[in-house]
Amino acid sequence: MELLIAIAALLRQEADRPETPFEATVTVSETQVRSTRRSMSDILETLKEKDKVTVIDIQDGKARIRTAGGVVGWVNETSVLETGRYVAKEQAAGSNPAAGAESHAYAKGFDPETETRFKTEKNLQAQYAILDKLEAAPAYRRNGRQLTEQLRKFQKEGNLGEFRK
Amino acid sequence: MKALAILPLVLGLAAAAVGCGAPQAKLTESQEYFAGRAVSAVILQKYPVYDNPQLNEYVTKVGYTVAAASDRPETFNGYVFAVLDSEEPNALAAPSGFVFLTTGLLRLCENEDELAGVLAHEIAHVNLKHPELALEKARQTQMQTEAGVGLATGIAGLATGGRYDQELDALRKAFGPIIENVADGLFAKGYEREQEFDADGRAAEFVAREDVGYNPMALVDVLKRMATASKHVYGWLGSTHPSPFDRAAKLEAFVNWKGLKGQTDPARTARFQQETRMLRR
Repeated sequence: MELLIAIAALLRQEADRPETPFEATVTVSETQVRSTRRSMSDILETLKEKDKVTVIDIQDGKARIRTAGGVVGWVNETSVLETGRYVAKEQAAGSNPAAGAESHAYAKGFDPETETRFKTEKNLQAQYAILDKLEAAPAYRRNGRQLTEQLRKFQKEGNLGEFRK
Repeated sequence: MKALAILPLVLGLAAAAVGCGAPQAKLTESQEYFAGRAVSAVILQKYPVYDNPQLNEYVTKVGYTVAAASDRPETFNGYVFAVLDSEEPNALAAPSGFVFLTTGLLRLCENEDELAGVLAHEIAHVNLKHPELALEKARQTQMQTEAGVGLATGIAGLATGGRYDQELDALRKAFGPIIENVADGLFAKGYEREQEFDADGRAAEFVAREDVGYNPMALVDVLKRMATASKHVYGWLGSTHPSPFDRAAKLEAFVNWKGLKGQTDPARTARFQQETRMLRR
């Protein structure tokens, strides 16, 4: 049964994935390019949303990429999307109303303008302020290198990850 | 018998692996993020954040350690973990990785591995796109209301190139009820039963991965303890959840069947006791 599941998952992934190398676009606000596939390995570069990369290889949920600046390293596979698919998704879900299919139409509501309106209509200013504070804390959360340093220390003290006994 | 007991969980995970019945993600990462902020804001309107930044930071570190090893280590603006001040044992995940758990649930955990199991379960929901599916379901419900008729007209208008501003306005008006529907449902009832089973199994896999090393059985212990301790059927034990005993039994069988390994560590337990001591005063 386990073999069946593994084969099914592999087939699904292979069917979905374009052939490497391919151009991809970063889909998250920020991601770190790391030296190895390990999630706490050294950071080589930080990429921002919409940055373009070339995906060279994919292994176990990590994508080996080359950045526009020529840096080669690893990012999370789910943080990049083949550029053609990225553009199609953005078009279907956003700017062009005539291009939006009905099933994507509700997504048009989830944007900064809607947040401003929703916040005012529902009197949620205080709650959004709390969210802003949560997203900003701890202070190192938005700094990839500092976050990695803190998490490595945390894992070492807790015998986790590469420090597990 | 054990094989039969875990069969639904195994088939569910297999189905998730091949995408059967699991719709493709429709929202972009940033749209999911704004939806997540909206759902989170509504939740925060009902439940205050527990005012202890050090505790929140500790929970965040555990959460990030697990998320980094999951199938979706990053969301649009990163996972956000927050402790809510409520005696009811509960935890939930909003779209884009906003994860909340109550002081009531934290008090039921006895060590860091159990906390990691709870957070891993919520991270699994985010990985499996369950929050987005909840939004879609709420949208379909909204379409059937009187306001939804206007929404449908708006959507039809957009599809045929109608007046952009008016139709978009109709869509934005529907946003509020959709978000409130999802927020209320998440806290009171959680996700669908099969989604809860799937999240349990995936959570156990995440915490046992090489990059982590928590005890995959710890979540079983929490479920068993919650079943006997909780006075109300709420959230994690809400009406759409399977029985916690059922979940614990299935998860235990799954962990054994998969051969997932990991031991609760005394150093982590001591750390947990230190970081959560204020909850036991």
